[in-house]
Amino acid sequence: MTLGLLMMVLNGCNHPSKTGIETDLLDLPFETITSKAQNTTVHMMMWQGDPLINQYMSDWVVPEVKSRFNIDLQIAPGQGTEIVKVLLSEIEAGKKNSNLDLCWINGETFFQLRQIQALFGPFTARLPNAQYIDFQNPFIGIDFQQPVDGYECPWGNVQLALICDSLRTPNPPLTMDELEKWWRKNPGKFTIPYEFTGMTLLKSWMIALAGGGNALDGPFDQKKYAMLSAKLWEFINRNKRYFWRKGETFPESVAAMHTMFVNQELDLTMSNNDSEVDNKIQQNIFPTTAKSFVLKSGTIQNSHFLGIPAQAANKAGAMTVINFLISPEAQLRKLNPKVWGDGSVLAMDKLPAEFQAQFLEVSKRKNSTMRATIQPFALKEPAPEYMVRLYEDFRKKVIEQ
Amino acid sequence: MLKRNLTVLFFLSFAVAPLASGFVYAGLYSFGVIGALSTGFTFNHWAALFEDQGFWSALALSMGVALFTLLLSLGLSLTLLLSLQRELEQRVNYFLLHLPLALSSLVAAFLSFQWLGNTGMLARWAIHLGLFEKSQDFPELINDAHYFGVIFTLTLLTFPIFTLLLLRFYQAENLSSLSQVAATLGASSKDIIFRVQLPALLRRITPTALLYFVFLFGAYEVPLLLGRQSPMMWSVYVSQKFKKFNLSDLPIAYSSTVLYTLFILLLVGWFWNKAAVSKAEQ
Repeated sequence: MTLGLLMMVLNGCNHPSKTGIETDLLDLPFETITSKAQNTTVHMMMWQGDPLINQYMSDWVVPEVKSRFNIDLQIAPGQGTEIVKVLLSEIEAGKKNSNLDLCWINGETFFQLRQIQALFGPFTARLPNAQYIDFQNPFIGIDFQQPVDGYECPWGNVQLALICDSLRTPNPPLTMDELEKWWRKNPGKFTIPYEFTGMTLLKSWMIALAGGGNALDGPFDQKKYAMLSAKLWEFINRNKRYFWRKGETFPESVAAMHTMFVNQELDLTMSNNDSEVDNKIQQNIFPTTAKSFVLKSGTIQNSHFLGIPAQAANKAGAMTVINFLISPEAQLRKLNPKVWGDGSVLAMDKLPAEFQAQFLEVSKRKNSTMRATIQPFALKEPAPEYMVRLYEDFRKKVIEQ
Repeated sequence: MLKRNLTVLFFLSFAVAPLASGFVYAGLYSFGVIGALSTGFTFNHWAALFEDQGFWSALALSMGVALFTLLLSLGLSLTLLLSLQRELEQRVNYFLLHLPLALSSLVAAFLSFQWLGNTGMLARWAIHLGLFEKSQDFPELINDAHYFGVIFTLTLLTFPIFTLLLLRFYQAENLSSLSQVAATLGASSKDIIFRVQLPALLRRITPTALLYFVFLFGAYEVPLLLGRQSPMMWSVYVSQKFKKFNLSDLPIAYSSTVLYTLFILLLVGWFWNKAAVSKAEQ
């Protein structure tokens, strides 16, 4: 037992490093990488909380990568922190081959995985379909103020949107002042989920309180955070008595908010995906009168990414699958609200002509506001430390007050 | 002898060693000795844990919820047994008592959610009957400040087990005959309950009750779904530290698990010692 513990302690000090084999892989032509991926299994971990997303992956992507590349794509459920914990445990245990080859991540997970050097790269430049990605777009090429540097590949792009039922709320509040007035007129009908989406709303408000635009651009600034978060807590605390349950407790998930919205316990809900309304109406979850809107002061727009663990056993397979997932064909299908409704990361002007018209056609929305309409109100994600601090301080400064 | 030694070795290898190594690992992590982001031995994580008001309120809340649920379940079970002992022995009632045992904590929590929530069944009936105008007027029975929903659900899961156990003890101790003898000797109904039945039943149920206290103290799914973010029960507090966005909170989470294990070990040790002393005195 002592020996086992000693091994664990020693292994705990290990950090992954790039091996010669990995360097070689990045030097290979992509055709060779794809041929190396033939007849292999790729283990992917991703959030599986939405039936449409799951269907897109299991009913279309999995059979497609099997028939095109003879790759068995095995998908396991798990998101942000779970992926970090899996990879962290493997690093601490000194595991040479990770159980994961591919994972769906975004900013704060990217930040954590880079902290523990758990990501493989830079690999995106090696993907042929990366030529279509709009890397110049700051909402795609930069993740939570961190340069992507080829260590994760953009997969989808979304913007935070509020959701109301146009029958119950024909004139939703569009500014923070209007929100305050609306809360007072409709007590108990609004809340903030104490998770990623809720924290994204808080970041949007914090940027608005800072004057909007690029106020929180750049690395984490403790002074700025202290000043702005004080304003934010004051704003929330002076209004929280009008929140659901008088702001004494907050739902743990946005799914719980959706349920309360449908039950008419809440009049507003929210989503990190600006086209989720159409997606949820399609699933008969939301009423057909539901619609999305964004605040005039802006809401956060961000991208989600695909990453390859540094110790992934099948990096060639993972790169092949990622290249397929960012192909115009896969992105177009994913963009369709009937399929998923996830914003594309591809630049329209870079796409082959035959795809451009199709992308424009599929981009049309029914109950969700058009992306072009809300784009001017898009705010960039601030550095990940803001999220970490907001999450902790929301408990201390709001919930425990 | 060889067989006994092999049994002990088997127990140590498969039961004690994994737990002990996990405990040591958590201890080393909590002192910054190991971990991908560790910077060397430090007391800082322990200091951060003790400085966190959330930790102390989680500790107090867990003890309060566990104790209250335990006493409530025991009280309910004893009342049910002593007033309806014959009815409980009937096949249908005996079977019905087993039903809550088929519910997992998660399912029980969801059931409570569906029944007690502001838009749940009770609220809808109450509005239908004109007792309340809007769903918001219905009293908060889940995610409430007094942890009513949590205590209700945990009691729902606990008291049938206690009732079944007490019924078994009642029969094993032959309390029916003893009560008749006491009555023949002139004992009042109150004397029979407080001097004959309760002491015998409580003596038998105490070890199980203590184990249940440990189970309730560490309850997770029910407080996660039906509790609040502040205060939160210890298990939820620890999982938040493990699962949320701050990697530097990991050693604090490990400190908390080490403390939890020590607390439970102390509790069990204290009871073991007490039981041994009591046995020696007899």
